[in-house]
This record gives sequence, C-alpha cells and structure tokens, in this order.
Amino acid sequence: MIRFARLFDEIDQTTSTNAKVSAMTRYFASAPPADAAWAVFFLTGRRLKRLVPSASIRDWALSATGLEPWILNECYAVVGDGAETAALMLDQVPREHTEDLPLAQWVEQRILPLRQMDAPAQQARVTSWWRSLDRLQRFILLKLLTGELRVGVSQTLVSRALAQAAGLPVTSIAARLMGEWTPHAAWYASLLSQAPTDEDRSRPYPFFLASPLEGGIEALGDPAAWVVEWKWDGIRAQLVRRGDAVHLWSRGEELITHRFPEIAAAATRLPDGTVLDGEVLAFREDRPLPFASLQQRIGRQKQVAQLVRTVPVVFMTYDLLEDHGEDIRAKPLAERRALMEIRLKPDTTYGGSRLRLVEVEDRPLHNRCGPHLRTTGQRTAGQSADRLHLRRVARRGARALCQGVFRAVERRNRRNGQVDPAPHARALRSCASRRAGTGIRTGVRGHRALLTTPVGDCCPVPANAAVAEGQEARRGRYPGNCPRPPDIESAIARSSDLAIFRLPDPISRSPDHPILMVSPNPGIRKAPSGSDAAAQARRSAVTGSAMPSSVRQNVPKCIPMLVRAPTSR
Amino acid sequence: MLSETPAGVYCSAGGFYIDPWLPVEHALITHAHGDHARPGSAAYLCADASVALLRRRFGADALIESLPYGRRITRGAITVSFHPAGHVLGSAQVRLEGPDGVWVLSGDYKRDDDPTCAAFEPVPCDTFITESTFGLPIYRWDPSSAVIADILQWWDSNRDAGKSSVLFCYTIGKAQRLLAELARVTDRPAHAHGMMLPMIEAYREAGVTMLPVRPATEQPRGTSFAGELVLAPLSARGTPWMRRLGNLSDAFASGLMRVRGVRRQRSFDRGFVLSDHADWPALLRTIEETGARRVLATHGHAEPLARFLGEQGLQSGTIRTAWEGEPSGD
Ligand SMILES: [Zn+2]
Ligand SMILES: [Zn+2]
Repeated sequence: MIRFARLFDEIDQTTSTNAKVSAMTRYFASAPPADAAWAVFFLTGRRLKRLVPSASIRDWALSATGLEPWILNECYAVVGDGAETAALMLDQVPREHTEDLPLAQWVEQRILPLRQMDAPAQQARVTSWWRSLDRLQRFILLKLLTGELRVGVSQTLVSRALAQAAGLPVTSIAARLMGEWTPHAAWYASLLSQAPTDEDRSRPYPFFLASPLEGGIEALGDPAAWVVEWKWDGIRAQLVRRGDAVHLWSRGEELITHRFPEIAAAATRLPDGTVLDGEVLAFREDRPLPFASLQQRIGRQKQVAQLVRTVPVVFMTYDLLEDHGEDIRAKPLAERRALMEIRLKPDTTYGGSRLRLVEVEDRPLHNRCGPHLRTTGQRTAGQSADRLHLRRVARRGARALCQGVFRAVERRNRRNGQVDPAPHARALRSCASRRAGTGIRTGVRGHRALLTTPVGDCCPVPANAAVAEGQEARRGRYPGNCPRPPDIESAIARSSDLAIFRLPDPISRSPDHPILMVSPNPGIRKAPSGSDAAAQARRSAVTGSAMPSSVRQNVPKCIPMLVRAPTSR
Repeated sequence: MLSETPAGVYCSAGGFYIDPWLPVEHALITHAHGDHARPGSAAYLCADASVALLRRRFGADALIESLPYGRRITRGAITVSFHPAGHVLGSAQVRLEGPDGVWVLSGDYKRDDDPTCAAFEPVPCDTFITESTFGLPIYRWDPSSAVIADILQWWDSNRDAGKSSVLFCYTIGKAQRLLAELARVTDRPAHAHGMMLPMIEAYREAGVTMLPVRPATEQPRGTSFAGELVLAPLSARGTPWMRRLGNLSDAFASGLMRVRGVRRQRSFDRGFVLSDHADWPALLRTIEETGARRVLATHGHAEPLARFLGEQGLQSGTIRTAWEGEPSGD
C-alpha cells in the first residue's frame, strides 16, 4: 500500500504528463505483479463497486473524532470531497503502529470481504485499519472504499507507462487493456508478455497529425506538387478491420469502438486486413453536424443506442494504410487513393454510407496559392462536392468546420529513385477527372513520412534509419540534413485579403499542436452579421491570441483551411 | 471596551483604533501585513520589532511609535500593552485593561516554532478576540521541520532534473521564515523576486539568520536558473518574468495547501502546508490558555469556531474586521 500511495502522491504532485508516466513506469518496473495488476485496475479508472456508502464513512469519521455533523459539513464545504474531508479530520486520530500490506492483500483480503459484512462489523474493521495508516494512505483507503479513487491519469498514459516498463508498443498494451479482465498476477504477466496475443492484431499504425509549417514558401517548390483536400472537424481515428474484429482507435491511441457501433458495424463489410485513416464526424443528411454534436457521443458512457439515432456519425476516410493485410504506407499516394476508391465504392463496401471517402479539391495548389486563393470563397455551387459542403455550411450558418488540407504529392519515383514530378501531376489530374472532387494525397504516412518531402532535393534516407526518424518526426523534428517542409503559411500571409488563424489542434484542443487556418481577412471581408463577438474574437485571433472554440464555431463564412505539414504528428 | 465602526475596531475609552482600515487619529497596529497595517493614519503605535517593517510600508514621514513587548502604557482610561503573537516579525497581541476587565485582541498568531519572530505568549484575559483563519478541524499542521525537509527534497529533485524550483509565498513573514528554516538545513543560496528583497533586508537587519539571497529580477538576461530555488510573490505568477526561469516546478507554501482540491484548482505542482496562522488544535489550546470566558472570533471560519466554542460552554461570538488572513495576507 505504501508503494501505491507513493505513486498516487507522485502523480498527484505534478502537472507534467511525462513525470506522471515515468512515476508509473518506475512503479510497474518494481511492484509485485499482483499489486501492479490492481494498480492498473485503479489507475485506469475502474472501481470496486458496492462496498461502503459514503454516509457510513462520514459516520465513522464522526464517531472516531467526536465531532458534530454540522462541523463536518462546514469542512466538507471547504474540501469538496467526502473521503478527503474524513481523512483530514481523522488526522487527530493518531497512528498507533505501522504495517505495510501489499496492495493486492489490502484489496482481496480486507476490502472486498467487507461486502459480506454488516455495518458494525465494517466499522470495526475500517476504524482499526486507520490506526496503522498515515494520512495519505487513509485517504486512499477511504477513496477505495467509496469507489471514488481518481488518479488523474488517462488510460492512455497508463498504457504508455506499461509499454515503457515492458518494452512493448503502446498500442499492444492499449489493446490488451480493452474489454473485461480481472486484476491478478497472471493477467498482469500476460499484459506485459512479449508473446503476441489476439489483441495485438487490433493495433493501429502511428498517427501522423497536422503541425504548422516552418521556413519559407520557396522551399515548397512546384505548387503543383501539392493538392488540397478537405479536413473536417471531428475525431481523427484509425479503423482497423482484421480477422473477425473491428477496432476504432482515436489519435490518442485510445479505443473508441464501443462509442461508435454503427461505424464498427459498417466496417465489418471491409475486407479482412484493412486499416483506414480518417475522421469520425457527426453527419446527417449528407452534411456534417457541429463538433458539439459529436461531443455528446464522446462524453456519454451510457445511452449509446439512443445517441446513435440522435447523433449519427460517419467515418470520413483520408487514407488507406493497410490493404488485404499488407502495409501499403510506402506505396505512392496515387496507388493508395486508387485502392481506396475501390474499397470504398458506394455500391459494394460503402457500408451504408457510414464509411465515406474524403473529397479532394480538384485544382492543384498553384490555383489557390497567391492571388487565386481569394477566389475560393466565391465559387458557385456544383463545382465539387466539398465546395457544396462548404456552401451549405456558409448558407445556413451552421457550425461544422470544413478545412482544406494541403498535402504534398509524392515526388519520388520509387522504382528508379528519380525525382519526377510529371507522372504525379498527371496521376493527380487523371484521378481528379475520374471523379469530381477527387485528387491525390501524398505518401506521408508512418515512418516513410520523411521520404516523401515534396521538394526535389530531399536527402535520401536509408530505409533502416526510418524507424528512428519516424520517432523524430513524431516529436515534430526532422533529421538534420533533410530540408524542412516548406511554408505555405507565409505565402498565404502575403495575400492581403487573408488572415492567418492559429488555433489549438481541433481534436485535442491542445496549444501544443497548433494548426493553421487561412481565412478571408476580417478587415476586408465583413464579419457575419449579428455576431460582433465572433468578429471581435476573430480580430484578436489575427493578432495572435487564441480564439475560443465557441467563436471558432461561428466563422463558417470564412473559408478556413488547414495547412498540413507533410510529416510529423 | 471595543466597538465596530466603519473605520475598524475602536476603543472609545482609550481613543484609538486597532488595525483600522481607514485613516484615523491613533492606530494600534498588530503587525505589518497589508490587511492590518493601512497607510494614512496620523499616528501609529506598534511593538518595537514591527517598526522597521511599517517604516518600509509607510515611508519616512509616518509617525510611528513603539513599545517593547510587555510594557504597559496608559491611553485614556485604558492600560495598553503588546505581547508576542508569533505570527511575523514584530507581530503582537494587544492587551487592553480597563473598567470592562482585560481584553486581548490576538491579531494574527501561530503557536509553531518560528526562527524569525518571538514566540506567542498566552495572555490571561476576560475577553479574547481570536483570529480564525483556519478555524476548522481539517486544518492541522505538521511540524515545520517536516515541511522544510519536504521542500528541500523537492528542491533537490528539481536540481537533479535541471529545473528551477519556484516557491510562491507571502512577502512578509513566510518568505523570511522559509529562508531562515532552510538555513538550518542547507547553505545553498536562494533567489528572490525583487518585490521581496526590501522585507528580506529588514529581517536581516533585525538579526534574523537566513539563506543568502540573490535578486532573481536583476540577473542579466540568459542567466540560467536551473537547479535554483526562487522565492516569488503570488502576484508574479504567470507574468512574463516567469519565462526567464526556464523549465520549472512551482509550489505554494501556505496553510491553504492543506486541501488537495485548492492546490489542484490553482494547479501548483506542489503545495507545502506551512502557515503563519494557528491551526485548529492551536486555536483551541490558545483559547483555553487565556482563561477567557468570552471569545470573539474574526476572519476566516469565525462562525464555525464561535459555534463550536459555544457548544463547549463558552460565551462566544464573532466580530467583523478587515483582516483577510492568509488568502491575501500580503
Ligand atoms: Zn498577518
Ligand atoms: Zn491578517
């Protein structure tokens, strides 16, 4: 118990996730497996149910301290937590001896048997235990008894710590932690086992997410090497269909399958060995709903069935990472896109329109960089599907955001290693002509991200260095001799009728992963009527301060675009 | 003996106010914290050790007279004396003796050992006006030596991690107490925000032994604070000044940190429960030691303390002052 209490304290006393993870890693590396199993149980927010009502704890604390209920209420008003109030008041009850039982013994031989006892027997046990514990352990014990222990780490962080302790991929741990399990030593051993388990088959690929570009636009090279596609404001996710199972992973490497059963059901029609990268969107009648609608689906643990009706969702596919069990991340984007169009053809595996393929802007970038960019807001309906979405959004003032995504087109001809943009430009246009609103994305996935920097003189990266660089890329860095991805930001900023918005990442809302939005300059374009606050905030956003999400949802008259670096997550 | 007026607690028989919050003719000051010592009064009277601090607050022109602890003087029909309160340097309880018997107004006080000031002395009285900043049974302090050991350990582990340790605390009393307590266990120099330096200097002049202190505000740009301990007032939190401290861990030294939710809400990495106020047991013990039959509580959790004392058979009540106690006590 002392070891677990110390872990709790360490986690409680820092706001740094790294420090939390390393505290857990140290704990997992040293705790006996049976204890560690229970620690995982509590750290991941699982609870012992139906043990002791909070009212009992309160009564026992009163009788141990001889205080009146009214003063406990006064204390509770200050502390705001029943177990902590009791533990603080109990400080006047001295600790009589020290005893350090392992956590597993505490839970299995002391706490759980309380269920079979009547209240006086429970009180006798619990109050005698107090006398062997210090303040922190008393607090933890009371929290365990009332099933309220919240440790301030997410399951993702726990997975990360376990993965570090075991030397396994995070996703293996995360997959093994899903579903039902009972915490005991053998289960803990299997959790950290190096041998592959069934759960390992659900693992996603590393996520690669937007980050702002650095450096000058000149480094971008030929604008034709870039395409624009639409990025919607939802939950970035990977849909993994392998064996008989479907797993939906959020970008935080959390499993969210159970929250979106309709997507999981639709995905069963995909071929075995398919991994899609995309975005979960609240979606009704062919258009996206505001992100706030989707939040209902995230927030509620229960009532999923009802929410499936009231807030329908789709999976908007951006990319195909694995096809028939083959990792195709290294293939040129043109091939992947072509495969995607086959796999997600509406008449076969479209999944009752639950699985959609993202629309891609059919004009290459040079038509929207510089002076042409301003024309994007003035197109008429019918030109392409994404434009239609956008116009609808603008017309009804809805709050869903539609964002253009600039991505680099694969420039390297893989067969002979020559840099040859022409075939790609052609492939892009032929794709685009096959289907309105269709284009080509780059091969900027997984560890190969760095190999596909779009500019001609990208350093050749040896394949065996790919993993290390992938890690670097995930930290948002680039290997020293590889040119940084070019800066679309500054180019667009030169266009006088545009304003650059820096926003927190739309999914994590974290300022650590800002994205760049490009919108018509509010100084030139009139703000949407009736939303002065939005206009005001937009102006402040232009001057660099963060824009609150409530306002962000009110800027659909702008044409926001997400500029995405072709690498890093 | 005393009445509540718009300017503060007034003693008409003696013609003076105690810790008034508006300018008055004659002000008795218990100690130099901002919620007790307000500028603008014509004449101040305080304990000797408080003069240097009040001088720094009120300037050279203020009329400040002082008494040694225990010396009695007469004001009108009242005999007045100051007695150590153990709160900060020069802090005093005010004893008033007159036709209504003996009254003692505690000001802020604590019973714990503090190397920076004279220890609290219980003063027998009929009516005791006690502070009640932490007047609930959840407030109970560990020995300060244990807290200081925690702080040193925190500082050490931040040094190992190449971080600076930013310890927020009040400018008068807490900062100096920390520096004096730390001087017992280490001789590493500390840094302090510029706002804290004058009062640290005043304590040093009063003969208090403290860690050597370097100004953290006047270091040349680019000075690394990795591994250093930096004391700073809460008002510096979140200011651009913080940026020069680099990678840091922050903490707040206050009795408020006793409650986990308060620390988490303010998102300090660490909260060190170190208070210059009496905790619940100390309040009860002190009240008992004064032998007072009537107790009036003021500030903080005055109502619960008064109710509790009433249930113990004492005559009790509350009195309004402008004291703010620890939450903003300078
Ligand atoms: Zn004070
Ligand atoms: Zn005060």
